[in-house]
Amino acid sequence: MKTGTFSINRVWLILRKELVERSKWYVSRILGIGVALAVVAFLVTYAEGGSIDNHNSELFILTTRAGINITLAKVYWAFIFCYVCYGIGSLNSVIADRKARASWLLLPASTADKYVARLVQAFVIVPLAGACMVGVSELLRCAFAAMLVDASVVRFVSPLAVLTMDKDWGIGGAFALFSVPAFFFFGSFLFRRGAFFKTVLLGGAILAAMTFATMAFVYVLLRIRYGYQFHGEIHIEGDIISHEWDAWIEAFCWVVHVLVVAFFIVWPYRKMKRMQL
Amino acid sequence: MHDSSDDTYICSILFNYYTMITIQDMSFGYTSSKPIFSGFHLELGGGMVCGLLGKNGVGKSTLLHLAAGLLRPTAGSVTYRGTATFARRPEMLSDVFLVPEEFALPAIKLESWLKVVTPFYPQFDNEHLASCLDQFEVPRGCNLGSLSMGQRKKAFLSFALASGATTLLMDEPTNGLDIPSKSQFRKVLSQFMDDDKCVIISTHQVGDVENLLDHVVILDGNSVLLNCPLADVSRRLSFVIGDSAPADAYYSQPSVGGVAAVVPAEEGNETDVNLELLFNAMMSSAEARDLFNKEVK
Repeated sequence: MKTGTFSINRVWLILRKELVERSKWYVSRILGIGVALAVVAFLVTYAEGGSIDNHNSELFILTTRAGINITLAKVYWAFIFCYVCYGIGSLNSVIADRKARASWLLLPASTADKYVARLVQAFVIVPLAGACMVGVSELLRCAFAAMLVDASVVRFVSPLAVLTMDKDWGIGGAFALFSVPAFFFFGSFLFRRGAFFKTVLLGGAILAAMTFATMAFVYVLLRIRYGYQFHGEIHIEGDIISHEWDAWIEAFCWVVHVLVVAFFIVWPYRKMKRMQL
Repeated sequence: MHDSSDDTYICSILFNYYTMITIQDMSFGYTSSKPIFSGFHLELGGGMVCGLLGKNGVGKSTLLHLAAGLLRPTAGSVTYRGTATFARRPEMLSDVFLVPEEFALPAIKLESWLKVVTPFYPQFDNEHLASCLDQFEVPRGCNLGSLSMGQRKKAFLSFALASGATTLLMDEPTNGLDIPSKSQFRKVLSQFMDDDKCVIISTHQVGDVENLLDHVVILDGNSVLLNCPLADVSRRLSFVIGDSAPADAYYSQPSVGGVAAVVPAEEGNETDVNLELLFNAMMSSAEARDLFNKEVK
């Protein structure tokens, strides 16, 4: 085997080892959550389709067609997003106990190999597992719907329909969407036990602090510029900040966002290098 | 023709070649207020089965974890063949195998596990594994999740011995093994040994490994009380049993046959080393320790 600090072959070996060792866990989870999700999906379809007794209603049939049942697509999309956050947040729960941690640290692969393997697990395998759960759910939902209505009109609903529905996602939206899982990736290395819930709490605390800081900033800005009193009325004519600054502000937001996400992604490598039993 | 400086040079090269684990001026503690080691020194080389002895909480397991790269010293260095162990380089990790007292094995078939783990060990020897598993009577087709603790330990020990690692660090390896398995363990470990290999065994069950060891390290607090080949110990100390303790005994304790004592060895009269007596003598007698002072690193 190739030695040195990084080897793509070793990354593959780590991924294969973890998949084989946890194959039962993955399969049972995909099937279990997939079935539970199918029940929700069926209820959503009925809710969208009108009365639960009216199996053959036009609306019911229409809502089972591909890309039409937007509500279900949104449910799937939200599920995958939440599952990805949970899955990434719980990524290191398998090495939370001392024995598993020792075994993982002593696996003959470099820190870079183990880090890249964790990245692949977080941003490829966990989303794929979520997609598989949706796949199982859709198979069951469609199979059941086919028994109730004309099978030819039953279609899969794809969560990707949400993306095509709203054309204004853009790079910014996609990047913002990526930053939340990146934060959970950071959290999974920051906390040893209960990482997902602790990360949620940390995120909530940060959001609250940022909201408070933003409100305070706006208040100070209004007070300096317009002499605004907290309980007083305010009449603003024109812009608070000139539109000439728009491009700069947007660029600033982008740079901060990119740096923060890069920190969330890169910091775990440093943490991993210093990880002890 | 060569002079003594040549010999010294050759000896130093050989020493460096055979010195595998070097601990220099190392400090470590789980909390800064309670250091376990402070300015600690130890060197261990190849071709030895070394027993690491010490009281509970003295830091034997911690020392093995530091040597394996699981812990980082707060000061000083712990190196394996010149490389810091905490860097956890793949070549070091495949050459040093730690068998902890408790370890994690997945609940899958042994064969499936071997398929995904053996590629990490370039020197892995399948024949040796099969031989160890046979001697330990562990079926190759078993499921690791359904094995008893002792069976799992035997499967893991077999894997460790077949991994091709030059250095084995074992923490209480005989814990959980039944009586026949303990003798099988001694047998497979003696088959494993050659001039290049180094085995360090931390244990309280000295009787289980007594005939296996050829080197002993005794730790007490922050110091190494003894770091010496057993052959050297038996040249300097005799372990005797009599009706009463000899006047020149460094240490004595009641025994089944009377009184067991550690006395200075007489030339040409070497006895087998009793590790329990040796340990107690080193812990309680400054004179016994002084005998080896020059040897302690």
